[in-house]
Amino acid sequence: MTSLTPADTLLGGLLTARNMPGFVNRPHDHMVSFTGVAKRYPDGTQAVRGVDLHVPRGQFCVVLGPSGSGKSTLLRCVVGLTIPCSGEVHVAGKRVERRSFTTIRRQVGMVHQAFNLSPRLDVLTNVLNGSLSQLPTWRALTRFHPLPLRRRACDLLAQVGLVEEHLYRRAGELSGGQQQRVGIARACILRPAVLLADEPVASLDPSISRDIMALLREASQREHATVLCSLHQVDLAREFADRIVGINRGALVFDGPPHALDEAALARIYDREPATANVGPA
Amino acid sequence: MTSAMPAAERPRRPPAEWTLNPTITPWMIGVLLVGVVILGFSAKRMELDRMAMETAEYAAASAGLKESSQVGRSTARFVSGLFPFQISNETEVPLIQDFNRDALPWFSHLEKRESIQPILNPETLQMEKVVSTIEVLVEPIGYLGHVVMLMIITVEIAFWATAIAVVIAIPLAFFGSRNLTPHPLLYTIARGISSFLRAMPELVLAMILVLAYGFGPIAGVLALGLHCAGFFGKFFADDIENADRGPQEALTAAGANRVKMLRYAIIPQVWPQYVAYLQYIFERNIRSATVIGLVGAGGIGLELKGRFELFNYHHVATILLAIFLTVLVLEQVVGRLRRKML
Repeated sequence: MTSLTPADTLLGGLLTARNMPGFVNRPHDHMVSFTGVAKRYPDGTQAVRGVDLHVPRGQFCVVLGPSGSGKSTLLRCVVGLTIPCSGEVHVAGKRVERRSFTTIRRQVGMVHQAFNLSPRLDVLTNVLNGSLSQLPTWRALTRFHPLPLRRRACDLLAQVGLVEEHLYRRAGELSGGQQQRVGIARACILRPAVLLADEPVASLDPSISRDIMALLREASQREHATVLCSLHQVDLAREFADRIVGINRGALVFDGPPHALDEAALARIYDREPATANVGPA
Repeated sequence: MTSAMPAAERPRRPPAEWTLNPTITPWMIGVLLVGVVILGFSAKRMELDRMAMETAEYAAASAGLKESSQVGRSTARFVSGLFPFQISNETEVPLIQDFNRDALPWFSHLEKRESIQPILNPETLQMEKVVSTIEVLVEPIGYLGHVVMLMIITVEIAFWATAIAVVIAIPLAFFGSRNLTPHPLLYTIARGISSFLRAMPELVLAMILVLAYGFGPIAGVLALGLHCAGFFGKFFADDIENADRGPQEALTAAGANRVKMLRYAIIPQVWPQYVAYLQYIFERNIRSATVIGLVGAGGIGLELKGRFELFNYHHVATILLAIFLTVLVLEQVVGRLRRKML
C-alpha cells in the first residue's frame, strides 16, 4: 500500500473536515421529499405514478411492496440514478437535478440489493470507494487515500462486525452477508445525512437479514442519518421501521407506523390474501 | 401519468393462440442459397479444387499409394536443405576491414583453407588445377550469436510496440465506450480512429514509416504500435461497455466521476481480460516484428529474407529455430507473469 507522508495526513485532515457538511445542523422540515414523482421507462413500464412522500430527519422509513412495485425506482430518483419523468425530489431542501448531483451524492450513502461491490478489489478499497466524491482524481487514480479516511474505513468495518483479516481480502471472496456489511460501511464513510437502502437483504437468508437490518439501524443512529429503505419482507419492516410506506404498482397505498400495518393494508400492498403476504417475492 | 399498465390494456388470448415466430422463413432459405452460390464461385477462383487435389495426392504419396507428389517433392527439397543448422560463421580474412591478428574476436580462430580451382593457363591454353590458400576467420558460434542479437532486437521492437499501443489505446477506449464517453461525437471519433488503425496493414504502415524514419527499429515499433493500438482500443472499449453495471451504479451513486469509476468499478473487473489481450498482442507482435523486418523495419526479418533469397537454407533453419524458441520461451515467461498480475 501507499506509504504515509506528513502531506498525506495533512491533506487527509482537510478532507475529513469537509466530510462533515454544515447542512447537518441546518433545520429542514424534511430530509427527503418526493412531490408528484412519476417515472415511465422507455419500454412503457409505468414504474412510479405520482408519489408524494416526505421523510423527516432521523426517521427510519421503510418502503414496502412486492417486486416490480416501483420501490427501487423511487429510491434511485434520490441520487439521480433514475431521472423522474415528472415531479421533484428534494434532499435536505435541495432539488435533485443534474446540476446538484455532485452535492447530493455527497450527502447520501446507498446500500444496494446486489451489494454492487467491485469483487476483485479488497474490502478496504471497496469501503473507501464510498468517499470517491471527496477524493481528488489524482489520489483516486494512484489509490493514495488519506490516512484518516483509511482509519475511518477500519472503524466502520469493525462496527459492521468485520475483523482485521478481512481488510485485504477480495470483496468477491466474502459471503453475501459479509459483502453487505462492507456495503453498509461504504455507504457510511462520508457520514451521510441520508442512507438509502435498496432491498439490502433481498439476496440474504432470514437470520443474516435481521443482522444486516440491525446494522443498518445502528449505523443510521450513529451517523444521525435519515434512512429510506425498500423491503419486501413484512416482518423486517415491522421490526425496524419508524414508519412504513406501502407501495403497489407505483402508487402509495399505505403510510403509517408499523402497528398500523394491518391485514387490510397488507392486502392493498400485495394484492392478495394477507395470510401469505409475509413470504415476499424474491 | 396515471394510465393503466400497458399489459393490462392488451386483450388476453389463450396460450394456444399466441403468435410464435416461424423457425424457417423464406428469407433464411434465400440467404442460404445466395451464400452457397457466392461461396462456390469464390472457391473456384481461389483454386480450392486444385488445393484439395494436390493435398490428396500428397497424402496418397505419404501413405505409399503413389510414387511421389509435386507438393511432397518441393517440401522435401526445402526441408532437407535446412539441415544442418548454420551455427558457425567463416569470413575470409582479406574481406575483414582493419583486421588485427593479435586481437581476434572471442572464441574465434584462424584457419587456412586450400581450394582447388581450375584456371586456364595462358601459355598452354589448358585448364589446370591450381591450389590456392586463403586464411579464414572461424567463429564457431558466430552466426548463432548474430541471430540471437537480431532476435533480441525483434523482441525489443515487440515490447515497445505493445507499450505504445497501450498508451494510445487508453484514451481511445475511454472515449470509445458508451458508458464513459463524455459526448457521442467523441465516441464516434475514438471508434473511428480505432477502426482506421486496425484496418491499416502493419506491413504497409511499416513501408511508409521506413520512408519517414529510415531503416531501423523506429519504423517497426511505430508500425506495430499503431496497428495494435487499434486492436486494444476496440477490445478495451468493448470490455468496458460489457462490464457489470452494478459496481458502476454504486460508484455513480457515491458521486464518483467517470475516471474514478473506470479506476474502481471497471478496471478491476476487466483486468484479467486486459492481461490476456496484452499477452496475446505481445506474442503476436514478436511474430509480426519478424515479418515487418522484411521491409527494413529492424529485427530479424531482413536477415531471413536475404538468406531465403540466397538459398542459404541452413541459415534460414537457424533463424526459424530461433524464432520458434523465442516465441516458446516468452510464452512461458509471459504466462507466468500473467498469473502474478491477476
